Amino acid sequence: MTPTIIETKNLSKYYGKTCGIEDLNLQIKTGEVFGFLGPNGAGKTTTIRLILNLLRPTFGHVLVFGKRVETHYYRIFKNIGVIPGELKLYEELTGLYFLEYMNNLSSGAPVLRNELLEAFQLKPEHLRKKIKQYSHGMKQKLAIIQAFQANPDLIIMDEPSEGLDPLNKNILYQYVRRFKEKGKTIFFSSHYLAEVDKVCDRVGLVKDGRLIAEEQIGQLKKKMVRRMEIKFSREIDTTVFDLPDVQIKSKTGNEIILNVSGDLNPLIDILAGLEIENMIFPEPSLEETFLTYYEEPIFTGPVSEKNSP
Amino acid sequence: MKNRFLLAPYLKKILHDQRWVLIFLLLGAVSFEFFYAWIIDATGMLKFVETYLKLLPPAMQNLFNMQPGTAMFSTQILVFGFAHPFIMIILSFLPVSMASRYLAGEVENHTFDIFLTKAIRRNLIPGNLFIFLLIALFFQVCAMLAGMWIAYLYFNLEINFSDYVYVALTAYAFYVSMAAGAIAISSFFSERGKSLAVIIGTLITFYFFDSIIRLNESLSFLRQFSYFQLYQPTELIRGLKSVSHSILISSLISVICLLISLLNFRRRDI
Repeated sequence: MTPTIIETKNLSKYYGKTCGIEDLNLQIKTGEVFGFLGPNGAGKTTTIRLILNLLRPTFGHVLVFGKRVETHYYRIFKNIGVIPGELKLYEELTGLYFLEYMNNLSSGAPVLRNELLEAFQLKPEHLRKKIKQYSHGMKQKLAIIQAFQANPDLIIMDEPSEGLDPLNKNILYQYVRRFKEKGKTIFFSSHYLAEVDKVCDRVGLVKDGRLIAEEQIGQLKKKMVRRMEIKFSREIDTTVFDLPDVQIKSKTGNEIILNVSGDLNPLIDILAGLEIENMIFPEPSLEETFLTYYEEPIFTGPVSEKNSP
Repeated sequence: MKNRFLLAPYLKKILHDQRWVLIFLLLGAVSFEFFYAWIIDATGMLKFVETYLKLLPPAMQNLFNMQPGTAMFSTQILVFGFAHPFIMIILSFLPVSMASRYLAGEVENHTFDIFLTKAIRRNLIPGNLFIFLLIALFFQVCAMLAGMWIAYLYFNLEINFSDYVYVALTAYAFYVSMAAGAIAISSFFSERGKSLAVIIGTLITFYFFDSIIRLNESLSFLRQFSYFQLYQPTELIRGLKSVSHSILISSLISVICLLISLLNFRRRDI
């Protein structure tokens, strides 16, 4: 097996003067679940389309399984499952015909199909219907099944949980973990930090077409600045929070807002000795994550609220 | 895929998509030719058309490429059934619509985002689309010929049927070249509507160009540059044009257009 499954070298794509992705250097190893995290329009889909040879790079190149994708794509793709971001299926086909059709175009037998159909609760009567009669969630399930059914060594997913309910999202995450256990490689693009946290080993943060950080997920979480709101029973002396990874953001009466990063244990030890009335410690938003690496806010408004799948 | 040229699941899917359209077009071609021959031969329409054409000015007679009042007129009017606007629409329907749907349309709909990530060479897509059209047009031309053959047997038409076979062969080569051209044009587009508009616009422009040079004698030197001169059934049956020359030029156009589409589709962004 090649240790590096996907490698991009100085990969750039421009649409006229507009930059899709610029100077991207990535290395994704065998058996890794790599999260590709970024807001909408950051260049995630462009990168995936370059990896899949749907777009030609302006500069640089992509190696998959050690081979250049522009010239060897039809050999490389024998062993790849893909869930595209902008999902459009052949609406006039039935679900079963679609799965058969996709499998006939690949090389492997659909060894996992029945198991996947059962897991995602797609019954034979669903498969007999035309895809145009499917809901968005059912189409997404079908796309997931076609990607996983031949047990490929590499799966590339572009926001795969879009349109899935929490139950089916969990089934998807279970399969991602199972594939990782089998030593398969997964490229997982998302704009949900919590989702990436659940399944990925390593994460690349992309913004405005540039890779701004590449970290192990554990390290990313350590570096992340998180907001903690605490309401005490009585006013307290703030000097107790004089810790290296804790910063007081504001204090109003009994309420205090802290920015916390790194190891939480020293802070928890201190809080254990204080009388707390209420505490809010939300999952960090994608914006807060990016602020750790990047000074400017990436976006404002409702999108930043979508931090949990 | 084991076969380097044929993409069987793709051809099967296209057939699955187009089966009713194809059946309708085949029935349309057979029945049109039969009823055209019936109307011309059995209803006395031949005399009416001949009289009508005689009243037209010579330029208009040139447009129809017919010689009313001659012994060959009945043969000419019957073979006009192979170039009648109805049969032209039937034979050009699949090349025009399928090239736009299966190339530009699939790019526009993002269905290629899954399809082209399978283990298939990209140039197999326009290549197999061409193969499908090659087969579909063969059956359509056979249906057209079959309609005339049934009429020939049923109405005892006084024609040399082998001449009609040669005309049908020329029609086949001509519409195959049209299919290759449509595929080449569509391979440059990412929107089905635009592709369709450009293909139809190009064909209409070529048709008008041909009509103008047929109407105007002083422009007859431009005939060799007119695409629609490659398929002139009435001239072919009168021996004014060579069947082999028309087939050769049509085939050459097909090869060039097919190469353009293969090269372009292999390199383009999806």
